[in-house]
Amino acid sequence: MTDISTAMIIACVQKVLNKDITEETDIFAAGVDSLAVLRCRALLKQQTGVRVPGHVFFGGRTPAGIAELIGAENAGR
Amino acid sequence: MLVVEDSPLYSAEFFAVGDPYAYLADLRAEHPVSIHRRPDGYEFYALTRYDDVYAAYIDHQRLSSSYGTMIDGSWHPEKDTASGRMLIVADPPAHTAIKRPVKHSGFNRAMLGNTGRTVRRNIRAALAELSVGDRLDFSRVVAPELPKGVLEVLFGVGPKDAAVLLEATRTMIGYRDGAYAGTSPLDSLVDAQLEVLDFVDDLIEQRIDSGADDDMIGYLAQCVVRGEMTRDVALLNGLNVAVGGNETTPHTASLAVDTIHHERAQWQRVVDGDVSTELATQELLRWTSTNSYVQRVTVADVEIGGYTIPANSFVTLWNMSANRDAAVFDRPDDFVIDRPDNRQIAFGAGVHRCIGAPVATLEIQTLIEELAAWDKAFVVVDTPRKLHSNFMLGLTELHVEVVGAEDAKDLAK
Ligand code: HEM
Repeated sequence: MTDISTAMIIACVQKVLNKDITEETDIFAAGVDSLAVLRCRALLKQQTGVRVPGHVFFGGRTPAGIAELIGAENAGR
Repeated sequence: MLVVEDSPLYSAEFFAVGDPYAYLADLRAEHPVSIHRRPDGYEFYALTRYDDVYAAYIDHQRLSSSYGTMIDGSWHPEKDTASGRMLIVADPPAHTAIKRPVKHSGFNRAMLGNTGRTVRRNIRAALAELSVGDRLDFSRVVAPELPKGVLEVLFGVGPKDAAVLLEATRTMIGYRDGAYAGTSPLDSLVDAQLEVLDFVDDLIEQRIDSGADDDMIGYLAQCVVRGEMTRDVALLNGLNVAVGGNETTPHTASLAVDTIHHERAQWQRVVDGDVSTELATQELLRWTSTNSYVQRVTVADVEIGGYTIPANSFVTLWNMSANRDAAVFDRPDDFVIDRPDNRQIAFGAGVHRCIGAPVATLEIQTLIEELAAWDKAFVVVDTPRKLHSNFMLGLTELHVEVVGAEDAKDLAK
């Protein structure tokens, strides 16, 4: 998996939700549902060519947490 | 009213290894309306009589589907994000507006005919592979051919893609059952759900680009293009049909084969042409009641079966119990292959009555026609493994051996 930064995740979530969030925002509390996760993943795929597994969103919950999980899953490969 | 603390109706294990039919028969006789609690505070009313279940289905104004139709249904504990946007969790008038295009494009006569032919082709091909003496797991080798044929037609995909989608919906729905989910059930559920959504969303995108509207997904995609439907609604209902179609009939099919094994003498009458496959199909649908219950939430006080259920209560409608109600069925606990006037309620009733009922009926009827015409037969050789679920009644393992039709006939004596 290519590197996916916290900033990239923030940008995608903001685009899908149409509101501002920070790296510590709980994206689900902010209104992300499974369809929004789908749209975020589609955006990330456009930018990086990689389809991020959905569970890292639910596990990470915040942009920083999600980026960290993606990094951790990569390290494990 | 009877209140059951820590009720077995919550327990997937109870439905796999216990006797839920006997438990529900007791409730039906003594406590047709009862309350069931779980230690965490979840509580629902259970309707077990046919007339009460039917009345509740029909009263969609006071019994809402918007809060999910499964007890603790999804990974998300609150009101579902799909609420009001996906058939199964929408109330009228939103429900009516979604149902029209889905029914028109996916469940018209031409589609039904096409589905029937595809399913028959798939079943024939699977049976043709088998020789006398072969041992196989029917639930994995033959049963998936039914929904695969449906997906091929409704979603306009090839058999390979249909098989991939089937696998994903299976993980998504069966996540509590280790037979389908991996070691980390929640992760596999989330990923499977997104895999299904990705799959359907990609199809919608392709149909938007190509303009094709000759399958259900294509038709919904053109609704999106014309601005009559949002893309999310198209996606959610594609998902609803995929799950509704995939996670039901394979279980009905496996239970049907197991039933045939136990009722060989009655089955022989179908083989001999003395009982129609239509009648046999209806009785198999009653007997298997694949979808055991659905849930509603009362939005006002509701009188049912002589009790008042207060507003804001969970209410469960037990199809599997209604289908064994002696007030409606003679000898309800016997399988009667030529049961006349069969009012089975396996597909529910009212506005939410299964949109796929004609398709599902055709799938099962096609299966038993092909089994009846086959020069071989299945004999069950090991105790089947039941699905661990209180919502879907099915088998995750059904080991069978292929024998010659004449040998099976001898077993019927
Ligand atoms: C034996 C097989 C099946 C059984 C027992 C079954 C059972 C049911 C039941 C009881 C409902 C009503 C749910 C409610 O009232 O909340 C339902 C709804 C539904 N079923 Fe089926 N089903 C079967 C096969 C299928 C198939 C083959 C499809 C699609 C190809 C399908 C798609 C759906 C959909 C989309 C709904 C939602 C309808 C609505 O809410 O308006 N089902 N099913």
